[in-house]
Amino acid sequence: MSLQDTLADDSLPVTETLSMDERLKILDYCIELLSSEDKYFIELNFNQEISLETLRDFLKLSRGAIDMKKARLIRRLKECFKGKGF
Amino acid sequence: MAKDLEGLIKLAYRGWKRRHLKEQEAHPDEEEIASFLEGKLPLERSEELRQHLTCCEDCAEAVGLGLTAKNAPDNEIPVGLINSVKERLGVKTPQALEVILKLKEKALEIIKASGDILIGQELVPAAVLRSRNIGDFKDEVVILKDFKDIRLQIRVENKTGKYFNVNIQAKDKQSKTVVKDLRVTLFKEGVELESYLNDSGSVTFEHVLLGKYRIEIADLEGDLACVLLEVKT
Repeated sequence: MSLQDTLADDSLPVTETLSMDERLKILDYCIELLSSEDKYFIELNFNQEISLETLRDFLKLSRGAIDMKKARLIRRLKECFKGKGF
Repeated sequence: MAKDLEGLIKLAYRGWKRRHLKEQEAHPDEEEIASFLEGKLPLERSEELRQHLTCCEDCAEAVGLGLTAKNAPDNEIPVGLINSVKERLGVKTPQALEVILKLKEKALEIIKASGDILIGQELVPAAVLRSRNIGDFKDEVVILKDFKDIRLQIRVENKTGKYFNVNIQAKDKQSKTVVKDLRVTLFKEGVELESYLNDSGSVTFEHVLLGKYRIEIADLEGDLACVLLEVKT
């Protein structure tokens, strides 16, 4: 890689990348601990990018309930994440 | 910030999923996925499918696409434009109702049906029938499928296991009234065998021998529906 390439490279510094890898590893562990229902929700909403509006109809939940479901799921992941020292 | 977190969860989940892929696991077929999307699968099977989706890329994508398509805005496309595109593509028929039946001496067995089967007062997809272990019907089977403008009903009646009668009826999807003056034509290997106007509300082809048939239902403006029917022993 030439100096010009290095200067033009806008990817994250190595330290940041390592930190990101660590974070992903912890999150991976936290996802493993989630219930199958939560994993199913992540699959639809996060991975398949199905909107909450569509999921509300599909899962036959109210808008409030679907928002709550997502908020609780994120909270569970955050708590697990913090529990691992992050 | 919230978006960053969601992105991170998505990335981590994808990594988790890659490690948990179960490529050898049996996949649900299209009918089963469609029934799942419509909430018609039994609870136990639904739960199995939910778990399968978290360890199968293809099926999860199929469900994702199904959900997206189901909720896409139903924009009206001018009929002329549709016909013109169909002509260019050489498409002459609308989507078909596919039915494969097995005639027994005193019963009928459904091998495949891309429509819903009438059981008493309930319409049940073929995939659900399989999960309920229902396969055989005594004398006749009634299958329904929605096309763009009509709901088509096909009734196949077993006649001693050697031949069958098939009755075709179309109803308006909105008003549920029987649609008359449709041309219903029975083809075998591309050759027209019989053709009638359903001026009484339905058309019956009688004493049809076993084999593969195509039934086209059309009005003055063109084809409305098509049935691909195979009856064997």
